Amino acid sequence: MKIIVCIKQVPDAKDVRLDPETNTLAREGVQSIMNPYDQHALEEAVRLKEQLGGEVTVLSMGPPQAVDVLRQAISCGADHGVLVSDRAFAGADTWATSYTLAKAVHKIGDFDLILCGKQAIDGDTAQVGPGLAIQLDIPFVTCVQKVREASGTELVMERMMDDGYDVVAVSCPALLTVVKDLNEPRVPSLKGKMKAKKAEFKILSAEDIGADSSCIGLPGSPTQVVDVFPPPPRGERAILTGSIEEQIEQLVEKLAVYL
Amino acid sequence: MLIVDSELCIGCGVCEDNCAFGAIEVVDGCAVVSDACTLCGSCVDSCEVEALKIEGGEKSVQVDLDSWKGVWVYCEFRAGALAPVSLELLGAGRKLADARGVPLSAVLIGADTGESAEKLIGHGADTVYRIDNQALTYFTDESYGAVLTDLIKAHKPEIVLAGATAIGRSFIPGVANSLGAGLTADCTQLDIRADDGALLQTRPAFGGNIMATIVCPSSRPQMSTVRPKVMQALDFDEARQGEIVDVAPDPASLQTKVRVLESVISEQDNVNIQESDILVAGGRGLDSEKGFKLIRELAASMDGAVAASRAVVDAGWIGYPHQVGQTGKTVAPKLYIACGISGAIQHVAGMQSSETIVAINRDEDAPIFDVADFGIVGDMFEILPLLISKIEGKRGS
Amino acid sequence: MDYFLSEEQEMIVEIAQQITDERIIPQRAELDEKDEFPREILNSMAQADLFGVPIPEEYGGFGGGCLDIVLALEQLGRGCIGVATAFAASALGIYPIIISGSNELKEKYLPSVASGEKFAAFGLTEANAGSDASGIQTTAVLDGDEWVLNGTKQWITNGGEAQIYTIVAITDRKRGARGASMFVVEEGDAGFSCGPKEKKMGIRASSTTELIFKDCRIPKDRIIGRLGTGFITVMKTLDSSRPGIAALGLGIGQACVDEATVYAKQRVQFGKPIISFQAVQHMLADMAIQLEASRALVYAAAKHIDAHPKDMSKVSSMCKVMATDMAMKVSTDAVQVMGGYGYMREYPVEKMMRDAKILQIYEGTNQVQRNVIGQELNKEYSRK
Repeated sequence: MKIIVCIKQVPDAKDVRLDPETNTLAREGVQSIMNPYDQHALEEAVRLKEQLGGEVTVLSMGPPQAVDVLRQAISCGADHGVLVSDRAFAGADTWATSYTLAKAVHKIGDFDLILCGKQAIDGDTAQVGPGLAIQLDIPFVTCVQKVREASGTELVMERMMDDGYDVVAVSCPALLTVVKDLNEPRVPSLKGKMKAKKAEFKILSAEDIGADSSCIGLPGSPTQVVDVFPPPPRGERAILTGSIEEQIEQLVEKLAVYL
Repeated sequence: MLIVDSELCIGCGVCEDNCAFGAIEVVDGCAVVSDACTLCGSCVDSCEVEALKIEGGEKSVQVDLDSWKGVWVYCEFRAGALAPVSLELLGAGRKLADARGVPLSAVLIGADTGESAEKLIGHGADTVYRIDNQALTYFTDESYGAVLTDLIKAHKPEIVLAGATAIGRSFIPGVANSLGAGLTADCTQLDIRADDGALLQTRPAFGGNIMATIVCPSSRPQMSTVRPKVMQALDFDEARQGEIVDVAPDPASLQTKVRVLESVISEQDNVNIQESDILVAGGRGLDSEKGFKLIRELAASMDGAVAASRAVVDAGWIGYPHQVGQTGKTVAPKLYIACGISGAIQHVAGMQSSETIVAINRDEDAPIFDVADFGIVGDMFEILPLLISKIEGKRGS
Repeated sequence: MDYFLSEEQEMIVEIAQQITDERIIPQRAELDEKDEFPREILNSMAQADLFGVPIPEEYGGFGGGCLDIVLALEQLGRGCIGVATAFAASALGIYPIIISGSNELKEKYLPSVASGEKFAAFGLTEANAGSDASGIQTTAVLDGDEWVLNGTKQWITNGGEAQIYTIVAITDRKRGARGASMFVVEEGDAGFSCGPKEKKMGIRASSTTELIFKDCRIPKDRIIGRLGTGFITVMKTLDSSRPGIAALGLGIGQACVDEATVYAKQRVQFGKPIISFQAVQHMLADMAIQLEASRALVYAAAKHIDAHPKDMSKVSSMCKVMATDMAMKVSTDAVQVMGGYGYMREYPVEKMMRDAKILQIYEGTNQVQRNVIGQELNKEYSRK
């Protein structure tokens, strides 16, 4: 089975904060990591490879330093890595990213399955996986929490829903996005790390993948960010006053958005 | 491209501090941009001497914007019922439609939808496009996506909203991608920009640490998914008039490569507290296992999950998977209600990132109030029953 | 401090660090509470190839030296020395085969230990033979093509969990130190069984049991090395493994410095974080000094052993004593800095303090180590 896993290098979201006074991003000590959901996608791909044979190619779009996550993927069992990197991709929203990745997949060639994390923790949009499937004109299943059966040609899996899950079947080629319940990603092995140290990666430019310049980067993006600001600050020691009855009345009023 | 005007740049480094991606750096007194730049524009806004600008930013394929009119809401229908978020979105959609002076339409896709279309009109829709077909009994991305895409192409609405539910977050991105439309996920606020009527979509990013406002300047429709429980539904008005348009789907749209074999509705018991939007947490202040029942009732009244302090888990009132804190789980729900929890640092470490924190405790000096957005000092057994009945009353209405 | 590790050594550290942070630390309190053997964590170490570090390359391992294993154990020990002891004891159990075993034994046992498929255990201690190994009463008698073992080993780490046991038994009591030999006993051999798990003060995630041999018959070729070389193999084994125990001390020391310092920055008394009080600062400073000095000695000793495998007893004992005494002192001080909270199970330092004690006792008590060092000094100065 030929599997492509899409992975993204992201800033560790829990460290990123906007300073409410200066409205600047405090990024001191913010580490770059492989998007956590993608780690689960990679783990599933490696398990499918171990079960069915085949190979796993990881694909990432990002600046040149994103080869770090490709290297990490090799140490966890991936066979090859491809990076699409070009200044022209900068400012890409989810549409332009899906387009770019689809072009890169065409360049990679044949595949049976594409795995993506449900979403990236920097944007939390959950749009690139489905978008990529549409661009490639293949079926997709989002939020896969368990792969029940897999052969080289068909997969049966559980798709997480708000009220439980659906059991769905799909024939290859297909694209899946995965949630964290799917598996526990392995720790890289010593052999894997040694292999990763020596690994070399294909770096593809916009021209290499034959991308239309009006469809990539900022010009190719239908959405644009016009403002960035900190969330409303945390109130402190706001103890309500009045009779218990009045306090509860006020509280229910304040919490109305959650009810 | 991000352009630095080296004449204007004073090398102050404000842009450097503003970049979330570490992509701009002051070298020899002038800002230098690296490949890590995503053109987010944060630095441009921060530059006081206007030395930075983004060029070539306009999407080159312009769509005739004025030919797209009307606000649409995709109203989710699953397992015989409308999702509550559908009605909330009609409330939000109504305001947007009125601001734009255009009609509000609902799209209802499913099988055996019964009186749902009438209900949508009563909650604010002017038109309901109803696609009721047995082949749409189970949700699939392909069939629902194709039906909605065809309908949008035929009627050209300027705005399309959907709930950021499992279903909405799954198939709406595919629809937007097919249409070449901009889509903003998980919006918490929607407004119309006064000068050009564009939809301003505000959403959290970086795990809620940052808010961003997004527009779709040159493509239509403008699409958003919206978090449930953020918008307000309008009260049902029986007198409201509207039109129901039954649409027969293109048979080709109903052919899917993904087959749903079974749909399983889970028990609510094995809820993962890290995934819950609302957590009601109980501590030693509940006095006994019997007292802790109030926590379960309060959680049930607001469809939240139950969490607990270590003391309560150790006492065996509830299992370890519910424990929050140093030796339990770290959670960041939208709402965290701490009842009878003093707020020792080992507990606070596990919940301080929650969006809103409510503390209820009989000890006025309890440290939990230091991190709370709202606090009530008093007796748990007086407060909780009252709170539960008030909430049930509010939600029932 | 930068110890100028090689790229491969950095990799070992990263892997052990990740397993510690992601697998061991979240589970250690529960494993301790329930006396539970960390099977899943050990499996993840196996998948990450850590079990292969001490095994020669020709048998599926990485041919790592003393420093390599020290680096891995230091990280694992930072999480839980109970878990780390289970890992270390498997290496200890296989050392006799690596040091003295025939090629056939190596081929038979080393690859499955390198892959983590099988665990090993080392059986020396008995009820009347602790520091004084000459008190061993377990016997092995050749009967045709089989050795027949009788006796009971006590407090054997990985007992009941390992599949491969390397056992010291007396083959000729008259020959004294040359009368002992080592054997491989496998789980399931007739006449071999393990006792119930002991209840311990610390390192409760590790399994400690008796090994009971009642007319246990094993094939003749399971003897490790030549007849009568058992004690030599034991001494060489313990010389090689002792820096690993020292590394566990470094792990505890580091964890205690981390926990106590973070706590001291957060804990406010008299309106200030307690780290601003000089009394607390000095305690933390002393902890950090002892830790770094121990680390420098352990790493240097490990490098010395890798370079001079024939001259290792003294440095091996020295680093074990220093790092494990340090772990006891530093963990006690960490509990003190953290006060009442430190004494509670909700914080990890009380466990570290309970765990640290074993380091001064097992693989040769620190008193016996000092004897070794003293005797070596005596020998050295007699030659001059």
